[in-house]
Amino acid sequence: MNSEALVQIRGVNKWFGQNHVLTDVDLDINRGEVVVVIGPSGSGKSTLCRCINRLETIQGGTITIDGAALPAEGKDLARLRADVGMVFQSFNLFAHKTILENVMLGPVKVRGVSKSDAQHQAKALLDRVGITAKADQYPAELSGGQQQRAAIARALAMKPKVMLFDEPTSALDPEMVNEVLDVMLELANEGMTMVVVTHEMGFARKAAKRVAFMDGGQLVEVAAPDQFFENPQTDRARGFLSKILPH
Amino acid sequence: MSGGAPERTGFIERALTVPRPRAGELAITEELGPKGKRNVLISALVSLALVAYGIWWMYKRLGAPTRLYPKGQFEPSLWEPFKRSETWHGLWNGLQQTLSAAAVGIICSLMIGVAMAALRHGSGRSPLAMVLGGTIGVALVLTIAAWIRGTNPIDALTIEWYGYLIAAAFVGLLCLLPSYTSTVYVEFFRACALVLLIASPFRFFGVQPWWSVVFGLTLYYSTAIAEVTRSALRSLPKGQTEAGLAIGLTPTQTMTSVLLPQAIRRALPNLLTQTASLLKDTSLGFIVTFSDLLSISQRLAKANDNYLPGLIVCAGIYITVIGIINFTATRLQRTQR
Repeated sequence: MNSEALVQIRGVNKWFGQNHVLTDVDLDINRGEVVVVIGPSGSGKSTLCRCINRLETIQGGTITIDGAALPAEGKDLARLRADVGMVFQSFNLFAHKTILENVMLGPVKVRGVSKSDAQHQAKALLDRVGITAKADQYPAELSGGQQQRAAIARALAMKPKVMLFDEPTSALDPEMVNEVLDVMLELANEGMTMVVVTHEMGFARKAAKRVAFMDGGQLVEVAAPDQFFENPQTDRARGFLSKILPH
Repeated sequence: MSGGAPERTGFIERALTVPRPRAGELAITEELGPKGKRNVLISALVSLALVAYGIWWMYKRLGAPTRLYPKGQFEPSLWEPFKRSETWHGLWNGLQQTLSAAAVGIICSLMIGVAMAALRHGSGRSPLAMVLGGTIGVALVLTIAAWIRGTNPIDALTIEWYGYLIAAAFVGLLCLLPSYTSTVYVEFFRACALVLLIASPFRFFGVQPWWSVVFGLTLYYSTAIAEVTRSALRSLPKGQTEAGLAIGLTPTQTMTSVLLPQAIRRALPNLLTQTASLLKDTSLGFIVTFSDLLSISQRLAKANDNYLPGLIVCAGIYITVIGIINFTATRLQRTQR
């Protein structure tokens, strides 16, 4: 592992009150790498993902992105978050803005891009995720899959160094899961650095360079998908896989 | 409606049909059954009868000859003054006073109220929040200074400004924790009687009536608007804040670009209620000799000895003005979605 890892997570500990939700987590994410984080619910995988752009604070350890430690507050933190795209389980599109305005807001307000340039770029991004026709509609008028694709476009508009996906398909109807996963696969193939928390094992097999398995707030096993799914090294991973993979 | 044959839907039948909720609206009433329809019909008839009786009783009572009005208060000659242009001229002057005080009051209340809500909602440590809190603090000091001097706040700036500057700096320091300041502001002025807030500057510091009314209304209604807006802010999903922060907006930008626009839209019906209420409360200005619509109406009614017609016309003007405000706001809301 080279020292140039884009995201370095070292000895991270986090508590919610008495609840120790992350215990000594170490993980490096290299440039252009897709790491899929899986594990039972309550294992801390979402929390870990949210710690990377400091939507959650950590009580111990360090997280560095592109060589710089996470700033604690203020303009620096906002600047860092602009470089880290995030896609949420519940989309969280801005309800009072059209899809196009949703995608334009960040570049205009944060990057200082001119409105016309931002619009141009936003349209290209919407085209890329396949919802050009929805540009002037409001989030509530779109299906879940369309909303999530718009949310991905919104994150991409900031030209992030790394994209975080926090269970992006968990709130979707089954028939819409694939349209979102397809966009994510495409991103992965283009070399985007991605951290994906998901229950979609198919996606993990196809897109992940490495799979990180978490349980009880600990990172139990990190391995290439083939190795992890065919030959897990730990009992906990074996137990988890036996529950979710039909035989 | 059951049965295959097309039923003729009469007025009553239509009145008893629960309208289908529009998309996005929650149905809180089910369609009525036969018993329910009968009950609604009976209670509707009973209340109609009661209202009719009430109107008839009032008409009889007010129309009855008294010592002051030998021909009753509905006598046509009592409406004569409304054929003269001086009457309308007077009413127009009153309406102008009412509208100008209400307009300035509502604009100030909205600005202060929304700022207070944002400060109290947020963690309140961003530089903009501090500046806002500080500005409001300074404005408060200047306002109080103006009360003391009996001038308007701008004049207060030029006189003895050293003292004011020190006081303002002190309050500004206090405002480094704007969420506390806004809590104190809201809790204090909300607890004050509106009449007291209007009367104090006039009684104790000789402030002009119009300014007294605007000060009082602003102090009081900004707290109401702050609370209405804050509750709307709290009703927004947490994900909206997180999404704003995640694309790199600062907490202040998240507040102004993402949260407040949505909160104000949600709060609009309540804000409208406050606006209408503020407009009517300008009539409390009579305690500071403010010549608003109501006090002029009363003065005219006294001079012309036609209290009932006078007050009916006055009520009509209030209802029309507030109706126009409601109508425009509803329109605005619909086009703004």
